[in-house]
Amino acid sequence: MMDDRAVSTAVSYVLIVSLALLLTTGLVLGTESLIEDQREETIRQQLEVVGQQLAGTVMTVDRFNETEAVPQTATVTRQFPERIAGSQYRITVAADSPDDGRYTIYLDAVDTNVNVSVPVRAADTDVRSTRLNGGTVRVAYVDATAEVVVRSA
Amino acid sequence: MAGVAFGDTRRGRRAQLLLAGAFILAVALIGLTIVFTSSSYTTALVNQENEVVRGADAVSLREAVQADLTRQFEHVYETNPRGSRRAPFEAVVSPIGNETAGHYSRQGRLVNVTMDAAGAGFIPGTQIKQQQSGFTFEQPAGGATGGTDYWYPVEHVEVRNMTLVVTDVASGTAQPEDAFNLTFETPADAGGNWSFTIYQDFSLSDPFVLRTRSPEGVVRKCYADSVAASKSATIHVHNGTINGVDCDALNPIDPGRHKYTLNFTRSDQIFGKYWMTVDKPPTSGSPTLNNKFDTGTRSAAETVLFGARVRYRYHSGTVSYETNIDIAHREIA
Repeated sequence: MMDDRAVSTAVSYVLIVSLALLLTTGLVLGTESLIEDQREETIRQQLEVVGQQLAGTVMTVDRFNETEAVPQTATVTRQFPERIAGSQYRITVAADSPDDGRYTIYLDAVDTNVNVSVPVRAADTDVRSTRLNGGTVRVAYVDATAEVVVRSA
Repeated sequence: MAGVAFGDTRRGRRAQLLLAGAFILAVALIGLTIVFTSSSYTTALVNQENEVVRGADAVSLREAVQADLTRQFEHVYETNPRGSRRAPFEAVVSPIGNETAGHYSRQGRLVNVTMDAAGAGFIPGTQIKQQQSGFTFEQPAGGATGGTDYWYPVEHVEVRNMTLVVTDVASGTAQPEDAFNLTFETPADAGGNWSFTIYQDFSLSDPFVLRTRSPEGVVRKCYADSVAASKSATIHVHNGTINGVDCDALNPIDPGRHKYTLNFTRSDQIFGKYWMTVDKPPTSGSPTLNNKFDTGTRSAAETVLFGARVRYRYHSGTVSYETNIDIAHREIA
């Protein structure tokens, strides 16, 4: 009986440690997956926020041109984060149908496969197609070409 | 001894379980912290947005200034005689600019509304008019500026307060193709040409017909009593009325900010008076408005104040915006 009890204790100890390791490993793996999913969702949401804010700014600068006289100075500087959830991102402005004033802003996270697109409608001016890194940007009306231009600040 | 050993084992097992539980709890807390931190950061990012940062404040403020000064300009225009309208308007711009600057400087923004001194901020205009009835709408003086069948009263201008008083329509103009036609010519990218034609069709109960054609080719018509020397038809293009009655065909004519050229075609088919205000001085154009209209009793080209131009500046931590604002009565309806 005493021998059995000793063996039982060792086996019990091994079982507990194994079980603990198994649980911990499962938990870590599960949590990592959860965290990765949450991170991607966070990146997507933040890219959407940045995209919507940038689209709003482009449309505001477009409205700057609604006076009969051409604006001499019209710039809006926006301080967007350089990284979103630890990932760099790129901003692309592309023309869909310039005659109808339809453009799209694409935001692509570099480290993950997350990208979002936000439509923009410009009433009075063209929006120059461009590509730049995320961060502080300057949206300006360029009188010479009658365009709204998005640049890195 | 056995009891002591057994108690140690149980304590050891409990310690292992506690250790594993604490580890699980720590990992879970770390995960939750990351999720909540990201969530709160997204919220913070959203909350960075406001009217000032986005630049909408600069636009809404500009529109408010424009609306206020336009009301003042209209008041000055309607309550002061011609030639005495500049000083009352100038007297208002400066206090508005100072009050605006003072108010927004306390909020960290530079907002400035100014007007060039010595009258340089005013937009000179001309009222052209054929003031005697009994004449056709042909060019009063200087020879026709267009072809044999048409002429251009004004070119590349904004027009307001356009009125036609028709006292007669030549017989045989029961079809629009034979009748007087007025076209507002604008480039296609500025909206395209609007036109209206005036003729009389005595097969109708209201023979006087005003037919408009939109840039898209949509035709609309309004009707009124026939005209004669003792019974004229007054067309207020800027109000969209004939004899004070709303004319739906005129309502859509709204070229907005674009300048356009007026083309009178078959102007010998209509008789009466007309007048309008344009945003160029009488000496502009070739031939000048004076040369085309200054005939003494029949017609005239008189200097008027068309509008005013003020300088608007808005600077905040993120927005830099400077532009001129033209203050004027609305152009054609």
